[in-house]
Amino acid sequence: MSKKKLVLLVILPLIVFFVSLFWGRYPIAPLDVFRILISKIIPIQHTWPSTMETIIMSVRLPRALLAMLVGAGLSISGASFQGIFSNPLVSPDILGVTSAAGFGAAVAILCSFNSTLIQTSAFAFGLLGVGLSYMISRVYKTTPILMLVLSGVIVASLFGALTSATKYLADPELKLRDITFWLMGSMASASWKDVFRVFIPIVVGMSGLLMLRWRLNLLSMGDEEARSLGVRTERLKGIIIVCTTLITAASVCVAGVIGWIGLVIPHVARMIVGPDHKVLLPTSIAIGACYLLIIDDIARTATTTEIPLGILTAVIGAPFFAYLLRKTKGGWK
Amino acid sequence: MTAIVSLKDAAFSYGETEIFGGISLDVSAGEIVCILGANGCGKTTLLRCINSSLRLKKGKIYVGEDDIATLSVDKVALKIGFVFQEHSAPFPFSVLEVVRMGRAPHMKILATPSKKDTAIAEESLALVGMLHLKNKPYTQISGGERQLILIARTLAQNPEVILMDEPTSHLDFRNQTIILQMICKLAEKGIAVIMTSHLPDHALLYSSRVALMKDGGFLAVGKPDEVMTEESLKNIYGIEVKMVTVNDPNSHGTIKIVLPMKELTNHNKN
Repeated sequence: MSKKKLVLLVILPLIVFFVSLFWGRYPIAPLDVFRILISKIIPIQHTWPSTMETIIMSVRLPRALLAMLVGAGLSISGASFQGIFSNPLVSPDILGVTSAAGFGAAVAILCSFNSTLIQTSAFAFGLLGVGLSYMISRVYKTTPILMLVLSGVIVASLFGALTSATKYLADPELKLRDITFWLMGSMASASWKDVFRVFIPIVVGMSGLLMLRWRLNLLSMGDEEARSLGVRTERLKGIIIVCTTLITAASVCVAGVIGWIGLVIPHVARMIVGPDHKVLLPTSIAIGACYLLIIDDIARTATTTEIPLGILTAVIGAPFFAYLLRKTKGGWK
Repeated sequence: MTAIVSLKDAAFSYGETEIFGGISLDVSAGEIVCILGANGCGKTTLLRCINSSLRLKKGKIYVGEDDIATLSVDKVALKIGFVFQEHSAPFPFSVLEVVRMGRAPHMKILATPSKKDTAIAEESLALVGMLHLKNKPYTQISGGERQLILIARTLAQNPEVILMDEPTSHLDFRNQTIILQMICKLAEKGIAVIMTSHLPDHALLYSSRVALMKDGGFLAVGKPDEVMTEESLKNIYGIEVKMVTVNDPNSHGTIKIVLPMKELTNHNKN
């Protein structure tokens, strides 16, 4: 990777992050944002209204951090899964984590649980769903790709149906609305609590994937070939599935279902830096963090009410992806 | 010379169906052993067992002193390289990246390739004469080039044994010859090569020994001249063949080639 690209991939997220703090319906000058942030480190004179500080520190900052964490996490998960499935069409929810987590949340909403329990239930069901897929796919002590994909389809459709059943049972005035909104994804209620909650699973998962990133190249050549190159494929696949599942389940439990990022961002990253997972994974993190943050900025500022993220990622992502696809004629693969 | 690979009464079955059995073979450094047999006779399965991708149901395979069943995957990869048939990559890795993958068994699990690994990979590429392709996407090179790149990757792996599953299938005449010459070069470096082939002539021309395989067993193992007869080839392929002796233009000796008989192809005429 060239120096220029490297610098850009470090600086771009920082710029987007900073812009997200002063951009919003309540106008805050960039300089004030800067002062408020500085004041947290070194005591300087307060020259700004306290509302402004509250907006930055309690609303925009955690929200921006959460968006970056989730965006980065979903993207690196997608890139890793595309690697282990040797297929660029794979997204992080291929093993059913999203549908299962969605069901977990829907049930918790139906039972009128509080937000902590809803998140816990979503996270737990996400792990359960992937665990189920993995168990179904395991034959002769191996997990062939085709078996994994099909098991994922089974688990996803099962939990999809259960989610529908939950919606059917839900009170249409209140709970059905909540469930539907939750499933469309949103960061509107993002708080520091959410950031802290998902920080550990997402960062642990990302670190694991980053450490193993070169091995993903080997795994992407197919199980048998990777084995002939000395890779303990089952162990490695297992670790990667655990890492991505931690990330996606954590993301879904705080932000709801946000599709599309895990599929598209790895492609965009691959166009910029090529297919080598050694650089592809860090690049996916940078671009994914920027992308979801920008999408979330649009979600909260475009109209007077919040636009669900799941809608925006697709509405903005699909034409963008189509444009890239046409322009490169699929050449990046 | 002591054997690098030895198979002792090896047998393998999928469930109840036996794929091969009673196979014994010793292969020494610098030897090219070619396994000939009809499609489905168990050649590829045998290679996969030697590679320990599949576990034998009976018998033992030794690599050097070690029983292969006791070695972990990464230890096996240090000793045995495998060149796969009909190869493609899902992502357009550069040629150099593909060759560097051969360094994996020598690297720690969390490592990325070092300068030394890259140097070894480039050396291997140079050895197969493909260094000029190093920055090309692996998905955009010809079949012959791809096969050479895979050989380079196996060389970067630095194994004692290289297994090749029909290394010349899908290649044109020129590329088949280039690959076979490369295989001879590997043997000269002291690597033991075990390959399967679909063309008896390749075994006659390039291998030091031939194993004739039928119905999951070896009919004969020995020098190509000795074991490849009209009778034995008819037996394994089920067709009439003629062995023809011609003058070897490269030396003053003679070489044999195998010709299929015309009559048997009559039913194809229309």
